[in-house]
Amino acid sequence: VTVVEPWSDDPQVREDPALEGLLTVLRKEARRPVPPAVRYEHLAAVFEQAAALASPPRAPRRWAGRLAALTTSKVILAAGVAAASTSGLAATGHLPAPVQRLAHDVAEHVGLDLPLPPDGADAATAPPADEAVATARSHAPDVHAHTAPTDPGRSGEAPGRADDLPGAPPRADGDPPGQGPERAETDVPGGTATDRGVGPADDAASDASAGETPTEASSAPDGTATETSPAPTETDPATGDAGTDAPADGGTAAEEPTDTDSTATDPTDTTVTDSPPPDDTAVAGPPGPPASPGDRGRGNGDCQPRSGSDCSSDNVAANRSPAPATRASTSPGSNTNAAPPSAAAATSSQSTGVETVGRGRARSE
Amino acid sequence: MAVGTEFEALLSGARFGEPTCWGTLYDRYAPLVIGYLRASSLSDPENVAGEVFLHLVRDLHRFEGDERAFRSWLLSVAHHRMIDARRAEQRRPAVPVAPSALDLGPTRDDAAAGVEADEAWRDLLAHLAVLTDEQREVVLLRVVAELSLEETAAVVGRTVGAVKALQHRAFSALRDRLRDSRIPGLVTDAHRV
Repeated sequence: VTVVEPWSDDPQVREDPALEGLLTVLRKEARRPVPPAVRYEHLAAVFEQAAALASPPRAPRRWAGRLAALTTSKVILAAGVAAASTSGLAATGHLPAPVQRLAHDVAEHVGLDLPLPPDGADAATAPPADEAVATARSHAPDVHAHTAPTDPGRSGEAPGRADDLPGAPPRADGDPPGQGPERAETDVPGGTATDRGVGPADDAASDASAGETPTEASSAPDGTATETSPAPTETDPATGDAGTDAPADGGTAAEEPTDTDSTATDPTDTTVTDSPPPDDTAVAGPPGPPASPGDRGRGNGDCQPRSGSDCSSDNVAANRSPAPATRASTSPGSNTNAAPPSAAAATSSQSTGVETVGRGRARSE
Repeated sequence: MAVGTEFEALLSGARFGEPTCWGTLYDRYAPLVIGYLRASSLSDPENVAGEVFLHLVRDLHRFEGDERAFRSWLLSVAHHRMIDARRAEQRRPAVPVAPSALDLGPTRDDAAAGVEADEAWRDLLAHLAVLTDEQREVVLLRVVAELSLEETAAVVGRTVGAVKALQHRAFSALRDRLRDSRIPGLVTDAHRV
C-alpha cells in the first residue's frame, strides 16, 4: 500500500529517506489516542455545552415589557400635559367658572393664589335676565344707600358684586382711599349689582341703577362719589358707628348733592376721613357697639329691608373678599389696591378682556 | 459520497446536541488537535484542546462545508488557541515539575511503553526545536493535520508561496539536523510505516 503523504511531492523528502521517516514518525506520535481521563473530561464539557445550546432558555417576551413601558410612558405624558395645561389655564383664569373656582379653593389651601373666575362666567348659574332686572330694579333705590361709606377697606374690591362694597370713605379731599376720582365714579353704578355672579343681571342691574343715577355719579363737582357724602353726616360720634347705617330715608346722595361737598370737606368728620382703618373689615372709626339688628343679615348677600325699601349697605361679613394676599394677587385690571391707579385706569375691558363689569360700563357712560 | 453523507449527518446530529455525534467527532479529530498542540511545545495541550472543542460546540452552527473544510476550520481554531496559550505561557512561565512527583494514574500502567513513547516524543521535539515557530507550524499543519498548501496558508494567514518557502526551509533544517545526529529508531519506524 503506497501512502501518499501531503509532503511527498517535496523533492527534499523524496531525496532523503531519513527526513521522510522523521515526518512519518512525527505524524504517528502526534496522533496518539487521547488518554481516557482527558477524553472523559473533554466530552463531559462538550455534552454539557451542547445540551445547553440545543435547548436554549426561552427568551422572555420582550414585546410585552416594551408595550407596558410604552403604555406607561404615554399615560404619564398625557397626565403631565393635562396637568400642565390645566394648571396653566387655572393660573390665567381661563378655566370654566366652576372649575376655576374649585381650583382657586384648592390652591388656596396649599398657599397658591389663583384668580377667581370672573363674575360673568357664572352665567350658567345665574337667574334669568328678567329676574335679575326685576331684582335690580327692586333694589335700585337702595343703590345710593348701599354705597354709604360703611366699609372703607373695601375700596379694592371688584365692583359689581353685592357683597363688595365699592365705596370708600372720602378723604379730606373727597377721594376714596386707594382710587382716584374716576374710580369713585365707576363704583357708583357698578356697585349696584344686586347679586354676585350674575352675568346678564349685572348688565341689567347696571342699566337699572345707572339709568337712574347717571348724572348723579358723574356730576359730582370734585369727582367724589356722591353717594359717599351722606355717610359722614350720619356718623354718630358717640357710638362710633360710622357709616354703618344707610340713610333712613332711603334717599340717595345724589338727591342731595350739596351735602356731598359740605360733608366731604367737613373738618369735623374725623371718623372716616384721612384715616382709613388698617383692617378692611373694620368700619371706619373706633370700634363701636355691635351693629343694629338690621346689620346682622349682612354677609349673605341678602338685602335686609329697613326703613322701607333700602337695602343694607354693609353686608360685608360672610361674603367678604378673600385674604389680602389673594386680593393683592388679583389681576391689576380689577384690583385697585394691587395696581396703581394709572394702570387700572388704562385698563380696558374690551381690549384686555379683564373683567370690569359695571366699572367699564360706568366709565363709558 | 457515502463519507460526505455520513459526515453531514454527523454534523447535523452534533448541531442538535446529539452526544454520540459529538463523541464520534471528538474521537476522530481530538488526536489531531492534541497532537498538533503537543508538537507546538505547549505545556498543557489537553487543556487547550478542550477549549478548542468548546469553541467548536459554540460555533458549529456557523460552519458550512465538507470534511476537509471542517478539518481546516478546526485546525484554524486550534492554531489561534495555541497562539493565545503560548502568549499566556510567556507571561506566566510554568515551573517544571519532576515526573516522579506526578501521580500519573492507572493510564500509565505500562511503564515501559510509556517511557519509550516519551523518549521518542522527546527526540522528535528535539528535532523540531531547530525550527522557527512559523516553520514548525507549517510542518505540523502539513504533516500532522495533513492540510494542503492552500489550507495551511489559510490557517496561518500567509500566502501559498510563503508557506512553500517556510516548508522548504523547515525540511532543509531537519535534514541538517538528521545528518548531524542520527536517530536509528526513527528511521526504522519510518521505513516500517
